[in-house]
Amino acid sequence: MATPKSPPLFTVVGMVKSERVNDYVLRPMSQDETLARVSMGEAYDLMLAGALYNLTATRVSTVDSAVAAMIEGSCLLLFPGMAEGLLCSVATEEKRSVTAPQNEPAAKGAMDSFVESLRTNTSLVRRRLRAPTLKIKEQAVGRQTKTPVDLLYIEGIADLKIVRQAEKRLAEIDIDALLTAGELEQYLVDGSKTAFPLLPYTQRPDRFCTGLCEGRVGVLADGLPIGYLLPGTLGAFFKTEQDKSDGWMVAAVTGILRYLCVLVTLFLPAIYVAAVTFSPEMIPTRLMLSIIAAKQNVPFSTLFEVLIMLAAFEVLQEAGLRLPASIGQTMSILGGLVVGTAAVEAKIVSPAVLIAVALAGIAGYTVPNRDFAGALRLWRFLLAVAAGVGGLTAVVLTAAALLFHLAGLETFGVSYLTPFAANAGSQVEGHAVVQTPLPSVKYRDPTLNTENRRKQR
Amino acid sequence: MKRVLWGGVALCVLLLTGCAGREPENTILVRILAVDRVEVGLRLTAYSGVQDLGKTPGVCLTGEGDTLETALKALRTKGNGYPALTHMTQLVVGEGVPLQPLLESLVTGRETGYSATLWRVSGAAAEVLAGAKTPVERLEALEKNGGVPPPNILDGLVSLKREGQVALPVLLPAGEDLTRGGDRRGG
Repeated sequence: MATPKSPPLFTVVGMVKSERVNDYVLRPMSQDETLARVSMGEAYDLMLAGALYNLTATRVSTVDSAVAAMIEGSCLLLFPGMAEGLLCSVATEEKRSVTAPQNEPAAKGAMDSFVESLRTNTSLVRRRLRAPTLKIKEQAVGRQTKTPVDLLYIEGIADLKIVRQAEKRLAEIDIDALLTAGELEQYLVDGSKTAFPLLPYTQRPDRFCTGLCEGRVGVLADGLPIGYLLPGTLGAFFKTEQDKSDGWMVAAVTGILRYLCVLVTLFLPAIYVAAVTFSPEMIPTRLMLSIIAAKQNVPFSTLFEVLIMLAAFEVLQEAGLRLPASIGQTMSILGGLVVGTAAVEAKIVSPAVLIAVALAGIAGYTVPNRDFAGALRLWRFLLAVAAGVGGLTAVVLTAAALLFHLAGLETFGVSYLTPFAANAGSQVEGHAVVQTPLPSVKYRDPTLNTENRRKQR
Repeated sequence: MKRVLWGGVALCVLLLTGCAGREPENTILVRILAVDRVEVGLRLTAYSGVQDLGKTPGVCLTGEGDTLETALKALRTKGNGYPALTHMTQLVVGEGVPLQPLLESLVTGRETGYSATLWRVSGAAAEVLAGAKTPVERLEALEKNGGVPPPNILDGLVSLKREGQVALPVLLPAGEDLTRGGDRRGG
C-alpha cells in the first residue's frame, strides 16, 4: 500500500514485477505534485488519462474481473468512495527464453522453438505471418487454471467449419486444470479408441506457420511449448520442415525411406517369427541353417524370444527417457550392447532375433512424430503375437485390421489416411510419399477444404 | 474383466506351451530325398546334410509306405526333429519308381515345392547315396559343375506331360564319391 492519502494498491505476490510497481505506479503517485493536491476522484481521472507511467491503465468495476486481471499480473488501485478501480499491467515476464528446438532439430533452418509463454509463441508466429488475415481467437480453459488457449488460422485459406468445430470443442472442455498436452489433446479430439495420435504437433514456429499456410488451424496453449495443427492426417506425421530445406530429390528419397522404415519397424519382428516358425521355405537354405545353429540351446520359443526382446527394448527406451541425458546415453549403451551381447552369449536369445528387433527399433526412430512411433510400437507387439499364433496369414489379417482401423479414423471431418485415401482417386499434388519440386505444387491439399486452393502462380 | 483375464490366460498358455508353428531347432532340413520302389510301395531316404553350419553332422532317415504321403509320415516318426522338405534341393529317383505320380505329389505338396533337381539311379537310390561320403555337398557340386544342369521337378513334370518322357542324368557311384553318367529318357 502507498501513503495513507494514496489509493490502496493490491497485487498478487509473485505475479508482478516489483520494479515495475515501484517505477510505473508508486513513484508517480508519490512524486507527482498534481496528484498530491487533488481529490481522490480527480486523481482517478488523471491516472486514467496517463498520470502513471504505465502503458495501460484500465477501469474495472467487478471483483471477478479485478481478481482475474491481478492473477494475470496487474495491480489494482482502489479509490475510496468510487465504484471503480484501476488496473495497471505490471506483470513479471519471467519465462524461459526461446531456444533451439530439441526434438525437431534442423541443419538448415530456423533455430527457434515455442516456449511455455503463449504470448511469446503468438509473437513467434506473428513475426513470420505478417498478413492481417492471420486471426487469433482466445478462450480460457480449465475451471481452476483458466489457461488461455489460442486458435490461429488464416482467414480466406482455412476451412471455417474446422475453426468453428475447434472453437466449440474448446468451449466444451470442462476440466479443472489444463496443464499437460494430453489434457488438451484428449478433449480436443476423440482419440480414446486408437493408439495413433490424431493431432500433429510441432515445437517449430516455422513448421506451425507452414501448416497455417496449408489451410490448417493452429492451437497454442499457455504452458505448452508446442503448437497443434488441425486436422491430423497421416501425411502430416511424416513431414519435417527439413524436407523443404533439402533438395527435392534428397527429400523424395528420404520420404520413401521413412515410409519403408515404418514397414520395417511394424512388420520385421512379425515376419521373422512367421517365416522361421511357419514358413521356413521363405528363408534361403544357408540363412535357415544359420538360424538353426543360433537357436540351438536357446530355451524359449521364437515368439517368446521376440517378445522378450521387444519388451527389453521398450524398457531400455523408457528408462533412457526418464534419466538425465548423459546417464541415459550410458544406460542405452550398457543395455543395448553389454546386456544384448551377454544375452546372446548366455543363449537367452538368438542373435537373429536381436538383429531383427534392433533393426525394427532403429527403423522406428525415423518417424518424425514420437506419438506416432509409439502407436507403431504397440501394433508391432500385436503383429508379432499374431505371427506366432497364425504365421503369415495372421500377419496379413492383422495388417488388414490395422488398415481398417486407420481408415475408420477422422479428425474434424477429414480422413486420417489423407493423402492416401481421401483424394477420391485423384492424384495428390505435391508429395504424399515422394516430394516433387516446390514450384510445381500449385494448389493446397483439397482434402483440407481450403477456401483458396491456389498457393502460387 | 473376466474376458480380459481369460484372454490373458489363453495368451500365456499359447506362449508358454510353444504351440505356435515349428521351432527351427526342432527342424531337420532335408536336402536330398531318395525315392526307391519296395514291396510295400515306396521307401524314402532323407539326407539332411551338415546341420548347424558344420556343428552337427548330417542325418539320414528312412520311411516306407504304400504312397508318398504314408512314406513321409513314417519318415517323420524317425529322428530327433521334424524332417522338413522345405529346403530339399535334390531328388534322386531309383529304378522302377513311377515318375509322374511322384512329381505330381511333390509339386502339389505343402512343403516340397518344385525347385529340387532331379536325378535317376540304376538300382536303389539309397544304396548309391549311402556309398558317398558327403552326398549333399557332392550332389550340389555335380549340379553346378557337371555340365548341362539337370531339370528340376517342375521342368520334369512339364516334359512328362507334354512328351510322355523326360531325360534325367544318371547318378553313378564312384568309390566314396558320386559321378554323373549320361542322360536316360524315361517316364
